[in-house]
Parts: sequence; structure tokens; C-alpha cells
Amino acid sequence: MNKLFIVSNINQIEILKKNGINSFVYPLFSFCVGVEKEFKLNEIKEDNSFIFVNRVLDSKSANKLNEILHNLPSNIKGIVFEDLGIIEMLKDVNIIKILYLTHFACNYISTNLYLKYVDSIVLPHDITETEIDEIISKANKKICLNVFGLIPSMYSRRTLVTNYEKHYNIKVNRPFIIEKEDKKFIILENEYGSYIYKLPYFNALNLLNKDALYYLYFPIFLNDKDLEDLVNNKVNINFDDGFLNKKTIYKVKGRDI
Amino acid sequence: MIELLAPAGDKERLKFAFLYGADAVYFGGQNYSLRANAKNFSNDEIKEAVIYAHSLNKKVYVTVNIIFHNEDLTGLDNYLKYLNEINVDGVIASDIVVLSKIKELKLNFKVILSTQASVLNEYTALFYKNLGVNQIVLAREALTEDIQNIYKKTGLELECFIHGAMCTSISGKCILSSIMTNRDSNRGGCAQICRWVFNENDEFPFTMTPKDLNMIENIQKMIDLNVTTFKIEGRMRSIYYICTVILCYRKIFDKILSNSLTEEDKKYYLKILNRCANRDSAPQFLNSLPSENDQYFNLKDEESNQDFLGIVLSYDDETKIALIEERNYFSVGQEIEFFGPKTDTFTYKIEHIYDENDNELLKANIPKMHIKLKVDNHLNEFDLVRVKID
Repeated sequence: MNKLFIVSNINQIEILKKNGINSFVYPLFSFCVGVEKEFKLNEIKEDNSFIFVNRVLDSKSANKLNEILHNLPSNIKGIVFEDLGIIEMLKDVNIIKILYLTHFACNYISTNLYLKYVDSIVLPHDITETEIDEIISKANKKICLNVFGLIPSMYSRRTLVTNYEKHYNIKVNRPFIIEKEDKKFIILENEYGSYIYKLPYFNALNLLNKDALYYLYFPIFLNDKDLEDLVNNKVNINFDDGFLNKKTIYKVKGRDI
Repeated sequence: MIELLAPAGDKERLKFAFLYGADAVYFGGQNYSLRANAKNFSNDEIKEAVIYAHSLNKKVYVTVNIIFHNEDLTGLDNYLKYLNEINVDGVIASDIVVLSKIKELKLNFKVILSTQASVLNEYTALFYKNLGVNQIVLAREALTEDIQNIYKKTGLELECFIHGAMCTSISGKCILSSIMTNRDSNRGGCAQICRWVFNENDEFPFTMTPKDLNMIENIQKMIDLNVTTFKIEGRMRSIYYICTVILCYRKIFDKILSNSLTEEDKKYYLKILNRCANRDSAPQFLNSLPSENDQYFNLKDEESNQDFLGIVLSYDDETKIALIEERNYFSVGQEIEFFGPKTDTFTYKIEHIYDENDNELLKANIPKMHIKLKVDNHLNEFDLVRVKID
């Protein structure tokens, strides 16, 4: 079974290795938002490593990344990425390309269209298990599935927590937690913007029985014990299953439309 | 060629948008559009809108910009073919399935990439160009260097938002609505959660609402950066808002193109624009990243606006009597303003108000009531009446 972990610190790597995991995804320094730690290429020591790039890239950053991608060390086996411009950059770079469009690719035709350019695609959190099944059954290549982590809920280019602190002249704990009604979110911020995740964790380990190239884990903020349990398919923390069994609506009943 | 592109939530707004100076409008059909709860247009209404626009030598772009789920795919081919048959000028899309279908079906209209696709660099723009995209609505977060490089490396036609509400999120990167209300953020159900207050019981409740966008100061610069389509946000906004904003920008563009825009002009239009929305506005991105000063922290700042007083339904040049449909309270003694696409703004002090049967009134206080005013200056049908702006 191909489990792929987006790692949050060096310690996690040791724990995962002890538990038989040897493929890691490293958030690449200065090209990520919403992560606990970013890694410079020279900090990535393991073979068969993937890099993770989830920023919407401005022109300057895109050109910088293009240079990096054309000079990757040999232990970099692949890339998990969000910005479609990276497909253009990777045309002459021979690594495994996995597209991670946070909220796009919600249907089987789009999935197959993207698969023409990449080796695989991570299906978004926004779709139901029924939709996932249909996409898997019609996909021309094996897809990847999110099976554990926090659901990306919003990505802003604004530094929302810093702005809030400046306005009120206060300091708050980071990462910052906000709540409304019965919903909680956690905001991570760096110089490239603010990334909001829904709480609690998303647990879809039941998807491990589906046909996928990789099962993606994002154990951000998980302690060592919980991480070890997770590798062994045990989850002892609060979780829900996101939209797997909850179809969204987009027209409001009773409205004159 | 410069194009001023306006929102048209329904047929009436479309008519007013063109009348007040828009070169083109955009709107959604009954399906596949990101404003699922706007009135939107039926297939027949889209056809009528295209015929009407083309009769004025203006253009119509239709939004097909949801993120498609499996269930939404049925009917897409036929809808796109229909839009092609009735000669819409362009389709605004973000999902690769729409871009691909347009190519596969060999449809003739312009392919415009929605801002939902969040394009900020030339590599991404090139990817979409290779899929057949002719024009890109850049991410609202675009800075000068991004726009320069995208144009230089792709030669694509560029469209930018210049006025209206801003998403807190990079467009297409938010599902807060789906989470909070189950209304699908990327299929037209957005409930604008980024305008809600969080941690309400804390001493300092958390908000993340941006001020509206207002690019008056940057229009010339954007023209120099080869932006050709200038877009106003607001398919669900009022007629007054749409007319006021379009007319201001129409005049600004005309003055820029005739090299006669002054600092005084800019200040004047800025004052009008800031009043007609319920929110303050500011230039955002392009020159720098927004700061805390470009956000609201007390949502009570969003005051309601009663500036819009009425619409001129007719004017009799002989009697000088204007028939007006009332929209907000006004009374004898008040100073008001008339303005319109062919009517230079002028101030008028109300001395007498009459009802349709020529009975004298002291006030107009019933929404949509018809009243008469004697006005010496010539007026045109569909001119608007507002409070006097000092």
C-alpha cells in the first residue's frame, strides 16, 4: 500500500520510518502556505522524496521555482503541486508529477484532462465518496486520495492574523483558532498569505480499500503517539469525514431563480 | 481597444448597464454560473440579450464558471453549442472541462478564463493559452510585475477587476461557504462567510473582510500594462450602484483617452463611488500587498445607503415636467441631483412635488410611487435622481 505523508518536522520522519513508511513529501521552502515547517532542498536527505508546492505562484516566485526544478538533486523522486504553471515548467524534467488542485478536479472528465499532463492527481476534499468512486472508475490513470489531514478551507494572499493584531494592537497565539456557531478553524500564516483549515481532522481511512496510486496523509500538528497510531490505522483524536457523505447544494430553495 | 465590462444580474440591469456606458456585460444562465442565486438569464433571455447588445454594437459574455461535479456534466455540450448558435461574444470559464469542450466542439466565441483560475504568472497563463484561452481575468492579487510578465510571455488579452467587492480568499481557493452552510462555494452558492464575525464573545472579535476594490488611481497604469478589459464586480448589485459606477468609470476612461482627466475629476468620482456602495473602497494589490487598512474590523462600518432617490420615467420639454419613480424618501426643500449618460450632473432644489393627479405633496415616501417635478433643465428617460453630493 502506497502511503505518502506530507511531513511537518524531522521527528515525524523518524517515527514514520520506524513504522515502515519510506515515502515522504516535503513542503518546499518559500513555496508553501499552511504548513508547519518548510524544508530547503539540502535538508531533504531521504531517497525517493517528493517536494510539495502549494502556493499560487506570482511571476517572480514562478521563475525562481523554474530554476530550482531544473536543478533538483537526485533524491527528489517527484513533486506534489497546486499551480498549473508548474506543468509548463516540468515539460523537460523527469520526475513523478502529482497535481494537487485543492478544490478543482471535481469530476471525471476534468480529472482525465489533467491526467494528460501529470502522472496522477489528488482528488479534492470537496466531493462525496460516490463521486470519488465514479471518478476512480472512469479515470485513465490511477489517482491519489486524501485519507487523513486537515481540510484546506481558504487561502488568502492577505496576512489576516497579522492585520488583526495590528488593528487592535494585540498579540495572539499562533496558529490562531477562530470559531463561529459550532464550527472551528485554524489559521496558519506566513509571508505568502493565510491558510485556513477546518477543524477537526479529516479521517477517510476507509478509502484505503479503494484503488489509488498513493494515499495522502497530512498529519500536521499531530503528536508522536497519535502519528504512530495513525500509521497503524488507528485514530484517537477528534475527526469527521468532511464531505464524503455530505453533498453540497448551490441553489437555495425558495429563491426566485 | 479598451472595454468597460459591467455586471448584469437581469434584463433590467443589462439595459441600464449599456445605457450608462458599458461596452460589454457579463451574466450567467440558469445553470453553471457562480451566482446561482442571482436572477440570471434563461436561454431565450440570453438570446434576446445578445440581439439587443449587438444592435447597440456592444458585447455579451456568459459565465460558465462553476467547478463541475460529475452530476453537472449532463447538458454542458448542448448549452455551449446553444451559446455558440446565438452568437454570444464570449464565455467565461474556469473548469478545464469547459475549456476542453469549447475546443473539441470547435465553437467560435472568445474563451475567457475566469479569475477563479487564479492566474498570477506567465507559466500558468501559457498552460491555459495552450488550452485555447484567448483572454485571462487575472487573479485580483496580481501585482505589476505579474501583469507585465504574463503579457510579455503570452500576448494574451488581459482583463482585470477595477471596482467592487473583493473576496478575502484567492478566488477558487475557498470552501468556507460549503463548510458553514453547505452551500457550494465553487458552484455559485457562496454565502460570503468571509464577511462574518468570528470569536464573537472575545474582547476583539475576529473579522477578515476586505474593503471594496477601487482602482481609479491606477487606470492609466493598467492601460499602460496592456490590460484591455476593465471589469466591474456586482451581478447582484442595485441598478443605482451599477449605473453610478459605470458612468463614473465611463467618464474616467473617456477623459483618460482624451488626455483630460484631472486630479479634481478623480477626487470627485471617488467621492461618488465611495458613497454609492455600502462599503468604503481602496486600491488593492497591483502596486503593493494590502494591509490592515484595507480591511474592515468593525462591520458596522457598512452603513446603509439611501442616496438613490428615483428614476426619470419621462420628461416633457414643453411643460418641463419630469415623471419620476421614487426609490427613497425625499421632500420639499431638499437639494437633489439629476444625472445620466447624456445628462451632465446638476443640482436641483425641490420646491414643489406633485402626484400623478397633480395634487401637491410635501414628500415622496412610498417606494416606486410616481411623482412629478418641474425641472427647467432637459432630462432623459432613465436619468437617475440622487441626494446632493457635496
